[in-house]
Amino acid sequence: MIMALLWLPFGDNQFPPILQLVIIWIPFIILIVYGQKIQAWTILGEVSRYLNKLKMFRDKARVTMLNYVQKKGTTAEGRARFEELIEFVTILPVDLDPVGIVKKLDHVLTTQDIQLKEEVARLLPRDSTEIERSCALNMVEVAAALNSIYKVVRHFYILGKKSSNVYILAQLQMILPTLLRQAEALVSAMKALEEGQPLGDGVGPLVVSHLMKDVKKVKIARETVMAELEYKGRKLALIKAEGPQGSVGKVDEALINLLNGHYSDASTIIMIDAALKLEGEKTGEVAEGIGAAIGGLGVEKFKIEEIAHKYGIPLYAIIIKESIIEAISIMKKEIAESVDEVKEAVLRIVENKVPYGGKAIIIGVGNTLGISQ
Amino acid sequence: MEELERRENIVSIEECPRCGLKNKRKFQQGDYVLKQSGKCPKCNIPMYIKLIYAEPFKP
Ligand SMILES: [Zn+2]
Repeated sequence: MIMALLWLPFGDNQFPPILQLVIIWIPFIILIVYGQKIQAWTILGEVSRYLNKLKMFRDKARVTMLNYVQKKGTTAEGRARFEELIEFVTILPVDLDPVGIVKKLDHVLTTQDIQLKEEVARLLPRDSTEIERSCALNMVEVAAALNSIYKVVRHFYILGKKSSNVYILAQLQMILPTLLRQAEALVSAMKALEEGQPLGDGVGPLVVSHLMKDVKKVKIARETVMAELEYKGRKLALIKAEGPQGSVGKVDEALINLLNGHYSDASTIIMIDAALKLEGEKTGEVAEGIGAAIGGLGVEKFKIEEIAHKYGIPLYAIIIKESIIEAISIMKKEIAESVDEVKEAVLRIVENKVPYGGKAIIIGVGNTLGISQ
Repeated sequence: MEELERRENIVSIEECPRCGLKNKRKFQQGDYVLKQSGKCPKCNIPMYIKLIYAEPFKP
């Protein structure tokens, strides 16, 4: 349109030379010489908008955490310590010589877990409940995650800005939308934690909690409970983290305890867990398979695979598909409503794979916040 | 941020252990799955919370 207007006054010839210079050659030269700089500026603008959002999320999470612990009666000194905990670092073991690294990793992670838990328990008033402590602890972890996302992005932003390096900035620009969605999910996890609502990740413990509802529960490992259920002549050991406080428990240790005890002759181990769906897959879809269904850095998975192999017991997995964001947000309707389907799948596997009079171990993997037993 | 919070309704589903009657209500602080909550109008026994989830907000 504009080109057509420019053309009009000059008949069917072409631009006068001066106009041609102004509208074609000067911009062309500017773009050649400063093109990359201009690109860097536009990307910088976009990245800095994202960065501001991430900062807002981080601050919001920190404020939510501080308000929560204040409401529960933590002193000003304690709150300052809570702020320091956000910067808490865990140094993972060296993997130059990977033999035996899982044990070292387990040691480091367990120490971190216990250390943070003790610190939070010390900072909260003595009469605080187990639920409040676990929520505060989870909030520290979420706030720390948001803090580290923000800091890493800021690092590359400043680096790119200093060096006007388009390539650093372009990479940042590409991953930022995904990072922002994860940060959003973490913020919404914060809200779930504040109210003690179940997370999408809690679907495994949810199924097991329904199964063990009417039978006696005993503690079998740290923050982990077990119940025995008779089903059509089979004996089922049900394991989940102890709720309704937010914890993933020590299901690996619970399994080891059972296998080294009365359940060494179990015919199957069935693990129920939320699993990452691919884009395009439906949330809450249930799939069955083989193997140890458990996430994390791999310590629990390693231990479970090792003990299952030692006793020669097959591992069955039932997974419920959800995105990473759904896993750390309040449980969605589609996920919650898959519970009955999962329960049926578990009982079907038990009927098919466990002989009459045999035993099976069923583990609900995930964070059991807001889910009792 | 407010947008995030307005998009969803958090509900607790209560169920009667005897007749299976379900009741959907708004989530209240302190609710958790398998907590006793409310009474079944038919059987007059306590119901328990079966599920807690977020559903899309419908005005
Ligand atoms: Zn009833």
